[in-house]
Amino acid sequence: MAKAKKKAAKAKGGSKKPTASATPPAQPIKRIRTAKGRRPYFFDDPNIDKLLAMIMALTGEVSVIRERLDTHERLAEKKQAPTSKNIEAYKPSESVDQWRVQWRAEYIARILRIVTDELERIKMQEKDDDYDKIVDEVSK
Amino acid sequence: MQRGVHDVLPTATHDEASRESFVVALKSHVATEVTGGNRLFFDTVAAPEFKRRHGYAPRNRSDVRRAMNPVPYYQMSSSLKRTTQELMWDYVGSSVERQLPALLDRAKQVTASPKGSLHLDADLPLPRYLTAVDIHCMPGNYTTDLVDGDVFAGALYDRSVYLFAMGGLGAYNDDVGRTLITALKEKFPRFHPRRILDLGCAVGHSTLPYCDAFPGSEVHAVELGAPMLRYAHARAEALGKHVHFSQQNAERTNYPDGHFDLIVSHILFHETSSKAVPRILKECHRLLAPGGITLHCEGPPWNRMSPYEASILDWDTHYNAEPYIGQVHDEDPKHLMTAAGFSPSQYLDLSVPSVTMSRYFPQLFSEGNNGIDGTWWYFGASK
Ligand SMILES: C[S@@+](CC[C@H](N)C(=O)[O-])C[C@H]1O[C@@H](n2cnc3c(N)ncnc32)[C@H](O)[C@@H]1O
Repeated sequence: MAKAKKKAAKAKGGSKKPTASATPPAQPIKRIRTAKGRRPYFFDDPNIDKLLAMIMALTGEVSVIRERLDTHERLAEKKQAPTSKNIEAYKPSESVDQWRVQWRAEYIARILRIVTDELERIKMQEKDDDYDKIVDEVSK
Repeated sequence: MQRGVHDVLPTATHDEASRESFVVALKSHVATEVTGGNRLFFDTVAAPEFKRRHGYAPRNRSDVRRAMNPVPYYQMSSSLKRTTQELMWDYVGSSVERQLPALLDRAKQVTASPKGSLHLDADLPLPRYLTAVDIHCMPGNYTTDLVDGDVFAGALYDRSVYLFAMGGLGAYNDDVGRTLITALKEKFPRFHPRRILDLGCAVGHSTLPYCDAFPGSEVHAVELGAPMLRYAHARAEALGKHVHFSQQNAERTNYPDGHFDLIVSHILFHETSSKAVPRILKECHRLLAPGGITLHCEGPPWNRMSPYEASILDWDTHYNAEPYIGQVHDEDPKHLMTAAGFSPSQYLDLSVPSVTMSRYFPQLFSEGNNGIDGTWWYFGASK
C-alpha cells in the first residue's frame, strides 16, 4: 500500500519533488486521534474548556505563521526566494533560535496575561472591595 | 541543548518543528508561571474554605483535590495543562503519521544485520492496566499496531518525551538511566554485572547507557508494547548499541532463576498497578543472582509527601490517564522489597541529583512538572 502511494505521488509530481508541507498526501496509514480514558472538563461549562483548547490550538498556528514569516525575512536577508523548498532547507543559527525562543515566551505570556494577572493580585493582597472603598473615599 | 538524532527518529518539516517548539514554550510557561500559583490559592482560599465546610484541614490528596476543584485559577491551570498535553500528542502524531511509511523502511534497513536482537510474542496477554486506558493520553498507547511491523507508538513516544521533558532528560532522553548508573558506580565501585535487565524499557532511552557504562556486559530489556520494541530495536541498532529486546511481562518473564546481576527499571511502576508492583519485585528476586543488585527509579520518593505535594502527582491520576500514579506514592518501598524476599538489611534507598536536569533546567521542575525537581529517587536491594 505504501509503495503504491509513493508511485502515485511520483506520477503526479513529475520531476518536482513535492515538499512535505506543500502537498499533504492522503494518509496511507491512519493514526488514532482520541486517547482512551475520560476527557476531564474543569470549568462549570465544559464548552469553556473546549473554547480554551481551540484558542490554544489557534495560538499555536499563529506562532507557526509568525515563525514562517520570520524564515521568509531571514531568507530575504540572504537574497533567497521564500520558496517552500528554501523554507524547508533553512536551518536557523543558534542566535536565531534563541531569538525565537525568547519571542515565543513573550508571545505566550501576552496571550495568557489575564491568567497570571489574577495571581499577581493575590500576591499584592488586593481585595475586590478595596477598590470600592477608594471610590467612596475620593468621592467624600 | 541539541536533541540527539539517529536514523529512525522522525524528522519535522519547518512548520512541524515550529509547532513542537510552540508546545514546549507553552508547557514551560504553564509550568513556571501558572501552575505554581495554585499553592497560593490553596493556602489563602481553598484550604480555609475546606476547613470551614468540613471542620478539618485537608488531610490527604483527595481532600486537596476536592478543595481545589472549585477554584477558578485551578480550573484554568488544569484546563491549560490538559490542553497542552493533547496538543503535544496531536502535533507529533500528525508528523509521525505523515512519514510513517518512510520510518518503517528505515527501521527495516537499520535492523538488516543486527548486533542486538528482538523477540516478539504476539500471543502475550496484556494486563488490564495497559489496555484499559491510553496512558498519559497518548492516543493508541504503547501497544497499538497500526500496520504490520509498526513502529508508530515508539516514534511518537521518542519525539514526544523530549518535548514533554522540555529537553531536561538529555539529548537522548537517557537521564534516568545515566543518573542511576552514576549512583550505582559511586556506591558500588567494584560492581561489574555480567548480565543486565531493564524492565519496561519503552524505546530504550534509559537502557542504552548501560551498554557504555558496563562494556562487555550483556544488556537485556523487556517491554509489553510491540511497536515500542520494534522502534527500540531499530533505534539501538541505529545508535550502534547492542541490546536484546524481548516482549515480555515484567511480572513473569521466561529467563531462568538467577540469570541477571543487575535488574533495573526507570519510571515503570507508576504505570502498572498495586497488584503488579509486588509481582515485579518478586520476579526481580527470582531473576537476581547472589551478589546481584536491583534498583528502580521513580520521581519523588514514595510514602513521604505532604498532602499538597501528593495532590500534584495525583492530578495525573484523574486528569492525565495515569490511573495508578497517585496510589503508587502511598506504597511502602521497604516493605515491598522485604515482602519480595529481600533482606531488610540489604534495602537500598537513594535520592540522586539528575545528571542532566539539574544542570540545564533547574527552574522548570517544580509543580508544573509533577514535582520532579532535578532529583531522581531509586529504591531496591542487593541479594
Ligand atoms: C514510562 S515508560 C518507561 C520509560 C523507560 N523505562 C525509560 O526510562 O525511557 C513505561 C513502559 O513500561 C511498559 N510496561 C508497563 N507495564 C509493564 C510490564 N508489566 N512489563 C513490561 N513492560 C511494562 C509500558 O509499555 C511502557 O512502555
